[in-house]
Amino acid sequence: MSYFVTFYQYAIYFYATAITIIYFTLAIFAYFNILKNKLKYTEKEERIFLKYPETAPGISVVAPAFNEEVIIIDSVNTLLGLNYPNFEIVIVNDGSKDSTLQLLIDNFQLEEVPFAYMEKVPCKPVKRILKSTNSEFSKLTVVDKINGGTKADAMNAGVNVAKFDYFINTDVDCILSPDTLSKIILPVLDSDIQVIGVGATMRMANGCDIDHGFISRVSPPKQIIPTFQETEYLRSYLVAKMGWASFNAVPNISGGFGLFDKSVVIAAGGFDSLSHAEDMDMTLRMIAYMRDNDKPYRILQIPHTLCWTEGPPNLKVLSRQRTRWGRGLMQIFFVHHKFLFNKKYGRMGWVIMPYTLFFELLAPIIETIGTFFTIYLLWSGEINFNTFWLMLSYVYLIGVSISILTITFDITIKKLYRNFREYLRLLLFSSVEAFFYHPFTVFFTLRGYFQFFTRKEFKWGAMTRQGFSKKPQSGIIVEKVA
Amino acid sequence: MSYLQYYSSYFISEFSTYPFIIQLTALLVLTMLSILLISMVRLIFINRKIFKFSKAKQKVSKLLYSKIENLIFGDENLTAENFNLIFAGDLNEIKTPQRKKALTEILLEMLYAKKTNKVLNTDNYLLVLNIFGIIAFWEKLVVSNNATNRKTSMRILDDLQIGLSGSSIQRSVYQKNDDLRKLARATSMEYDSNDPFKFLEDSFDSNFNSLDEIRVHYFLSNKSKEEKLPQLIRWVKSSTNAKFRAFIIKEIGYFNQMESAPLLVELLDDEKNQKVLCSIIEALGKLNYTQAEEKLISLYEVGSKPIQRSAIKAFSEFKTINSLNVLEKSYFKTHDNDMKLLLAYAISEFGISGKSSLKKLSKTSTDFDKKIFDQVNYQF
Repeated sequence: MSYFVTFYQYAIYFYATAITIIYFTLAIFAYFNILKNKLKYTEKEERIFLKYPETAPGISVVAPAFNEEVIIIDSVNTLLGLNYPNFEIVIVNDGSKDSTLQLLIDNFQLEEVPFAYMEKVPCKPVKRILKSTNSEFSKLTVVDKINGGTKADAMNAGVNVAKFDYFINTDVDCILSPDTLSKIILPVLDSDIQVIGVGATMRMANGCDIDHGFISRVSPPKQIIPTFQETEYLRSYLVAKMGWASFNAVPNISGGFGLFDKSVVIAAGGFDSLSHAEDMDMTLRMIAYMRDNDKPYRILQIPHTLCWTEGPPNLKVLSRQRTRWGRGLMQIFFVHHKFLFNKKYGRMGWVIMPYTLFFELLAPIIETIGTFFTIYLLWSGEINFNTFWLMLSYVYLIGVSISILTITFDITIKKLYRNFREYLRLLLFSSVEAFFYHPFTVFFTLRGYFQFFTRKEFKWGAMTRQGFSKKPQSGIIVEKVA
Repeated sequence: MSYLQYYSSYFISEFSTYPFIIQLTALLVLTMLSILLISMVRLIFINRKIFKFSKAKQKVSKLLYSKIENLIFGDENLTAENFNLIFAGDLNEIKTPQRKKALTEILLEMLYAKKTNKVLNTDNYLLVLNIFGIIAFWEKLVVSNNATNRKTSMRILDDLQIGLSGSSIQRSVYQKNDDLRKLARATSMEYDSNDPFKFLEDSFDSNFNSLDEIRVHYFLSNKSKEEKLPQLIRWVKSSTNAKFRAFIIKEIGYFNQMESAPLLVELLDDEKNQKVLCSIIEALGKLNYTQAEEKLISLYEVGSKPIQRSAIKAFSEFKTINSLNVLEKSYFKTHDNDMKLLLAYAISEFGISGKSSLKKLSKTSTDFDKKIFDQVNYQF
């Protein structure tokens, strides 16, 4: 037993040290990547797109909607207001049971149009395509399909209908910045190698002021859980992904917001409707496709905040979100285990997959065992209190120091919050995250792993929306539908 | 001093007695505490810097906004002496780099205000820039040793719509840094009055990419408004960079340089690069050079998909009976639904004859073809 205790203590110690080294290395690379990207383009490029629209590559914005009557109209209005000369909005109504579709039809004067639908990637049958009779909404296309049970299935229908070479994968609960499309396409154009995907920073919309569908004032969320999640998101985008992007090893283009090369998505078979982590699954399959065909590729991450999403307002919704992510992560290793340590898949086989396995998939398991182990040692009196506090502060400081680095990176890019107090709020929450937030995410992730093995049936979209508007949406129409 | 030495030796000797793991952990904890502290100080420092700048901007704005706005959007042209009198009390307020940057931001906001439909009085505007030393301030940074400063200042001067002298950019046009070099070249082309096209001799840049296409297109479009463009074909001949050649050929079509059409047809025979071939075909279509029709038809029949797609675009520009016949025949030959859709749209471009052709085709077609025709007709 004592041999096991010693071994486990050492293992945990070196595991934590490995995480520290990896994270700080990523932070260094992320910092230089942020500086490089910060000044790369200015509004001049955006002005050129507007002045000479023929130079702007077409982009389809695909957003699936399932029972989204609370936010759908605001969301579509926001998307239609994007400041870019060449884009279309494809809303996929995934068999909503509420009045989502009717609201769309009434508010945007939609009618069914003839459409030669081609199923390039598999999805449940598409019933009809709707376009607006009002030229003001000519950029809008609504795909009405039979419910497929997953976001991936709905995304595939959108990809089948999208007409441009690049598409944005987003959700209707996301608010995009007006300059999103020009900001995200510029690095694609400025690359000698084919760019198959681009990610950008996402933050919580919960505390922000919204005016006519766009963010007018950025603030950290007022609720507790979204505030924790704001720093967590920033850490993930500004440190991890910006760092990995320096090595062309971004593991995942977020499902909430990301730009994809349509031809590669189609060639890789589209989004997997059986996947619980369709974004990471898609990213890995795209990389595999490029490597299998010996095509050089690049996946980029830009530091600018382009998308705001509604974060889980309470533990119940957080539990749903993290359980799904947990299931998805476990599924990735069952479906794509052949990539792991496979020379053929280069960085994906030797960097992305091993990192995800050891430091993301196994982390909640190791942390939980470690917690029980510490309790056992406390109970059996085997704790050396001379070193215990040192070790505890070491583990605690890993998270806190990375969080504060993240917050300085964020303010370096652009000061989005108006008051310094708001940054201090993030700092304060980061300092207690380890005690009041992290244990819950670990528990919910483990529950996701458990659910994956017990093979329960899952559906997507069970996120309770609060909506962005302070006033009810198009009241008259809601009444008519009701 | 002896106390300090005593205690430091005591701690070092004490520290060295600990196991390696504890020593390492203590070092890591100290490192992270330092990061925490430095980051906190940095956060405060950045915030303070932003705050001070915003205060400076507010002050400058309060002092000068309305005065400058009235002058640069006013009808009356004033002299330098008038300006000296108007701003006599304000000149001392705009001495520091921070104030100059603040005034620059204010000017840019005025220039690019979204809802403004005022006409800029360029004479007064230049006098404002000169009197406050804005141009001199940024031009000094253009020749600085710091690449970031050079990049920022070049962009600011460009945004301010002021010409940059060739000599000040010269240092940056052969820079190792890709971003700076390309920016300098694009800026140089825009403002060089002696030889604005000189970088086209070098295919603009050895790492020519799609963003450079936009930069060069922007330059050519602006230049074409001022004067007649030279024959772009000369840079197709001199360049060995396929991407650049394909782009310039597209521009020949875009700027309707009909004189180059026969030379483009000649290039069709020897060109091996598919991208360049596609550009030639599309440019011939844009130029409506129907003399090349037969050649394009023969290329279409044996060509790859990208070549066929380009040829379809060209045929829909020609709008001849011959082209229409080729498209009709191809419609029934192809098994690729995407291609069918493209062909149907191309046929629809032929006006009345296209419409009747689609009607004719729909009589002998499958359900899917009918959907294609309905879709195309709906878009009419």
